[in-house]
Amino acid sequence: MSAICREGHISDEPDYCSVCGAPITATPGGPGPSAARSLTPSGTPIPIPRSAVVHSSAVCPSCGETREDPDGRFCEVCRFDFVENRPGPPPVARGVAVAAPPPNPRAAPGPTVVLPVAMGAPSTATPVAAPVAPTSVATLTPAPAAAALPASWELVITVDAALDTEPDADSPCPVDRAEIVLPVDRPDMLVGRHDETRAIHPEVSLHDPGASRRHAKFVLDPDGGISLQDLASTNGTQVNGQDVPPGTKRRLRQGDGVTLGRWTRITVRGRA
Amino acid sequence: MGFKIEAFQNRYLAPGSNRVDAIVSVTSDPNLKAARELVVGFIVDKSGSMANGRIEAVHGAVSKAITMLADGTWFFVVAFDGNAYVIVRETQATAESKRWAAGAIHQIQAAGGTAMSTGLRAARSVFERAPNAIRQAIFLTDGKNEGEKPPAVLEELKRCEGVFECDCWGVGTDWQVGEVQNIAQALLGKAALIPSPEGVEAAFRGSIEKASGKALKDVRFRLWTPVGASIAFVKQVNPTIEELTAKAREISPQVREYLTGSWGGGETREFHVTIDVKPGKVGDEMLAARPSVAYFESAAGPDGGGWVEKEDKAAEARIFATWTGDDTLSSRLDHAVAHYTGQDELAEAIQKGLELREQGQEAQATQLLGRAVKIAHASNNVEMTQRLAKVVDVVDAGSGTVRLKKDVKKAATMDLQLESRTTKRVAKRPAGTS
Repeated sequence: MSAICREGHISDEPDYCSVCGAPITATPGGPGPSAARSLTPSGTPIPIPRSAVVHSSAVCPSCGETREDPDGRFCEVCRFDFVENRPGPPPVARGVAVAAPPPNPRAAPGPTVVLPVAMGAPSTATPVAAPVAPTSVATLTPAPAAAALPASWELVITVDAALDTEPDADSPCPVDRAEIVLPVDRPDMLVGRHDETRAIHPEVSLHDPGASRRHAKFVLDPDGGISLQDLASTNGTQVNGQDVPPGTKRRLRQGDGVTLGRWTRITVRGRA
Repeated sequence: MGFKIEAFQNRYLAPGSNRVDAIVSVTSDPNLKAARELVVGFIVDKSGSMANGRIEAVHGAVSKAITMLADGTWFFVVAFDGNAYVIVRETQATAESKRWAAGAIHQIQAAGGTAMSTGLRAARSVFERAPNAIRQAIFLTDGKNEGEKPPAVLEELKRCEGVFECDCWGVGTDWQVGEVQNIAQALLGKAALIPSPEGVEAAFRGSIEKASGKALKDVRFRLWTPVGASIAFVKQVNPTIEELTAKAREISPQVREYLTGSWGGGETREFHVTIDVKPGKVGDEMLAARPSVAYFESAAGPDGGGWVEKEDKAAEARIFATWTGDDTLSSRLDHAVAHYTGQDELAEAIQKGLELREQGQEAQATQLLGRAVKIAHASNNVEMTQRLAKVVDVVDAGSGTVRLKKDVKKAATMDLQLESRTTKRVAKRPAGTS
């Protein structure tokens, strides 16, 4: 059981940090089994692809996260140590990103990958960042399973001042920042704030005080699709305005807008 | 759950302050069953001064104490003068072995000098053969440790620490309180005075009954502190004052533990903990310490089961620091902290006062003992007030006005000196002050 205190320490204790004694205010209470299930539209069982069915031994016993690399020693999300069978060590300064957000205490065993609720028009949608109103979700039909996938993906990172609902005079929204386009050229790309002391070097480095150091990651799926996984971030991640439950993975489609932090919008775009 | 742990403190600090005081009360589960294996060792002074009735009283008392042992309890008897002699080697109590042991004990003759370390060493070598038992020694002497230099005992005590616990009894008034108290304190026991040889038996009975009720072994009071904080001191303040700060054992850079010995069911001890934290700003809140209790519990099993290590924590035991600009909050003294700070001062005043009286500095001795009477009276410590009244004439307890007594029995002074470290438990605190 670990949590993160306001100083960024990984704590073995859920109430006060086991390093510095600071209170742990936002214990990232992940959704329980019922909340996880609610990802599925009511009454509509969603078929789970074979690749997403996970054997229980391939799931982190601490946070329930799928083990991506069965030989890896630590849980990707909560840094649980599979060899020692205990919560992971505190971060050390090294060239690899090691610090991790707290676990998501989902109790539900079994598959953690849930197919996205299909949104928007089929994949002919133009790469525009317009979020689809959540109210329209229920009326839409699921997308064909074999939707044509682009050859590769890219991420368009923009500052969206409209997202900054609680402006702070000390850190105003940088409205004049240029759009950044990054190709998705790695199997997974960490999204977050760069932190030299904790040796966190995200591939998608954000200058947004509302983003966690290890906030989320983009993952290329085996079939060529792309998914977003929230890493139990403090302030959460939305896809097209809908919250992604902390620690869970969400399949993305062309044109999906990922919003996080105070003003960051990342639009997923296919490249032919 | 083996232990109930609670902390009492005023968590509010003025801006810039960094010292956090708390009383941690630890109570063992009253339903705990006594451990299966108990070894009781008697360490008896047989020096020449024990002649003239004393050694005979010890013969009777030790034999009698052995008859009180439950069948199956292990026991042994070591006698020492300048050397140590094993009188009864480790034996399991049965009707027959008790009779046989009594015969051997009556053969002890009083002769020779006094070298306490030899008796401790002999007992230790026996106890070391029973690493899984509750190990209780009963040490009996009537004299000064004249047969060796003081460091010999201190060095031997270092080796005995954690091996066995020892209650010490002084017979008569010819012995040095400090020497015997050293042994008791190092080995987590108590030191007391038996004024007459006839009192030996009653004294042993208490020790045996206490040892027979022990259920948990190697109980350690543990403290976690945050990075940047330091433990200023840790003291057991009830039932007796025991300085623990220097006995800390480091478990990890942030966790230290203090050995408190074995515990019976329903036992309560209280600890005064003082932590220096990094000073905070108004509004800051942090956890200053997380006390817990680690111990070995006797596991149920067909062959005795052995011992299982456990650690108990409690949310009520957390010690906090919260910085506030409100002086009425930060200046308040916690009831329990104030009480035990007073009991500590009481013990100090008695020890110092008696010392000064011995040296003939009557004015200062009167002042200190008067202060002791005042604190004892204010904290409703009736036992200590009565003991003090044997050494001084109390004119007005409320203001601490006393006169030194002219003819004081030596036993009364020794008794006061020995018992000065026994504290009165804090009275039920008024509602809403923790």
